[in-house]
Amino acid sequence: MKNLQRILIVTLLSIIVLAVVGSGIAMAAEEIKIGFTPPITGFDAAEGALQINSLKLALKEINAAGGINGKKIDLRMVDNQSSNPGALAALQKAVEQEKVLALVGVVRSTQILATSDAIKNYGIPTMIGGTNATLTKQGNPWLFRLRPDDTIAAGAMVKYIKENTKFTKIGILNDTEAFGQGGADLVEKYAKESGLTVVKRERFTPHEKDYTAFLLSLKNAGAQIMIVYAPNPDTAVIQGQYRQLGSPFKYLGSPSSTSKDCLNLSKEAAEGIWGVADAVPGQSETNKRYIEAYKKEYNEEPDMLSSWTYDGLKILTNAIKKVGENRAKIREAILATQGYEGVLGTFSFTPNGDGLSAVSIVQIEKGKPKLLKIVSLGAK
Amino acid sequence: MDWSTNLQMLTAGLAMGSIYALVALGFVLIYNAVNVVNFAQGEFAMVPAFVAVWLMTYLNLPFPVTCVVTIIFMGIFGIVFQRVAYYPLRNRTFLPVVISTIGVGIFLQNGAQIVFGAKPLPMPRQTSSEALNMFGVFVDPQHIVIIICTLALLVFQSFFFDKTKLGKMMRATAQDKEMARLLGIRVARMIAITFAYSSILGAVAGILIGPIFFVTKEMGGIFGLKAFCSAIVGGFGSVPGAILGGIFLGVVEVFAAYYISSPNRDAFAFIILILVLLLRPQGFFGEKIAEKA
Repeated sequence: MKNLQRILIVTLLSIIVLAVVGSGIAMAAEEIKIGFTPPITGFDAAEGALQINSLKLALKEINAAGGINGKKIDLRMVDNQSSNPGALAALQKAVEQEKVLALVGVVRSTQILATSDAIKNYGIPTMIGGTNATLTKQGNPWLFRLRPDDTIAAGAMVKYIKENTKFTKIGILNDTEAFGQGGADLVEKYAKESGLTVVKRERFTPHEKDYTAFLLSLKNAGAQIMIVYAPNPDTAVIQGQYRQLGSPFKYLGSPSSTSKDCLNLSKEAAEGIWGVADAVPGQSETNKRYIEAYKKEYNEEPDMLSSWTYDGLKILTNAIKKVGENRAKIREAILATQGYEGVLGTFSFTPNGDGLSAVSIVQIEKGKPKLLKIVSLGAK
Repeated sequence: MDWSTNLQMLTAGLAMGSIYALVALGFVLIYNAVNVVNFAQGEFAMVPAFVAVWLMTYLNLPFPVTCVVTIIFMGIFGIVFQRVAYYPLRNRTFLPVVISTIGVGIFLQNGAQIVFGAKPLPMPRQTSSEALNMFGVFVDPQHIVIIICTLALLVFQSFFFDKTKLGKMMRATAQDKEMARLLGIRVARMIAITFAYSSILGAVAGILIGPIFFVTKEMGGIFGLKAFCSAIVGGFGSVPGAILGGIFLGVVEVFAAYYISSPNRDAFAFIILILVLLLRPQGFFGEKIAEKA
């Protein structure tokens, strides 16, 4: 029995040694490690799957074209579990264990706020999709925003209502996290500046199940149009219940109201609603080519809301191609990116790290966004 | 006081309350039978919801068939659960069994994710997605269906427990296992049936609530917690208490959110719980029972 024990111990030790050495060998190959922290599990999983699709398409195209100056990209994906602690853990794992050079991060503004200090300490260039306006103004030089921020989205909403509709009474429904609160605060501010009245504002905790009370409250306050500032899947539930109450007012939502993962859930309930979209399918040649490639790869239309990861990886790798694997230089190269034709629009980075400044107002017809108006406001 | 708004909120509250009541009933029946709180009761509503979605979406089974299959599935599931999580620990104290049920709850959540994926799934609606116009008030037809189905189930249950032999045997087992055994009742079988019935209650809750919001692996946790509060508020161990506690909580939540404060609506369930525990710890319908040493 003693001999058997000894054999077992030696075998176990050899396996461990081989594993360590083996992974060392893998690491020595000529590849550049880039991290990605999408929500693979949790409430945002549906949106995460679409983000992963877009990013992997970009990865495939870049590597097929020779990678970064001959070196292929080694993508390290870590699940952020749709939560703030999860996002922090994913960031730490990507930087400390996977040792990535740069990061395509997350879309939830609350998660970005939660990880901002760590990103600053690591000094790692991070491409983000969150739109809370303060994200790029906190003095963290390592965040690069790939979607128009909420000063533009909220501003566009109010401008559209003021100039293109006869509505004067607005109701607001937002969730209590960074994105919802920040966006709704901006809507309220711009509405007052434009002379429109905010008759009521209702807030809900994320993942609320029953919106009857909130919708009725807005209706009884006389709202003619309701602005919804919240992420999916909450927007899908709101749309369903809004329909159930007989659509008592017009619905204008933040981008998650018109994204694919939302429309997949709300289906017919979303017919006729208005929303802000980062981009409308077919709005540029680059956009059209992206849609063709995406359809070929995945057999379905892409979702504009999650396509920021595609643009993010491409802008990041272009920067690394130009200046090499130095994080500080990558940062400067990204900020120097001006007039880059991406899927979501033409990127010209401000010194704060904001890339885009135009959004579209769309209406959902037969499950697809139809363009009503493009509003360009310039980053503030 | 706008009565049409109040009516709309009342139906929503009654519908949510009915779901809490069904899950709370599951808690109470198991507790009465084996003196154990099944913390996986919420997942007993989540699992059949996923199963039903899968049957309808991938196997394209018609709704009535789906209901029957899901209910049978959950009945068997309850019996298996009882065998695996409760039976080996039945002679231990309260705590090991409770931990075992918590473990099963976690297992079910992650199992659901592995089997059905991480995305929320929509359940096909059987009622129309257009609002029903009742006396000039727009009401979600699914809410009405939930209320009617729950009422029907409760009427049936009351008849079952009161008038049928099996129902009386189950009540006898819940009251006093030793005595029931002495009278020739197969206690182990009664316990198995209780678990199966609690699971079927979960199945009904899951199928009814699924179309209103989407089926996610987290939905069990939210309902389980509110239902547990309902059972305590109604008097833990009392069947009418569980039902009325659930409905009370559902209705109060909606009205509190409208009239008092919207973002803190979840807090009301717990504020009520704390008040009840402070002022009337046995709940509305509970009895003050002293446990024998």
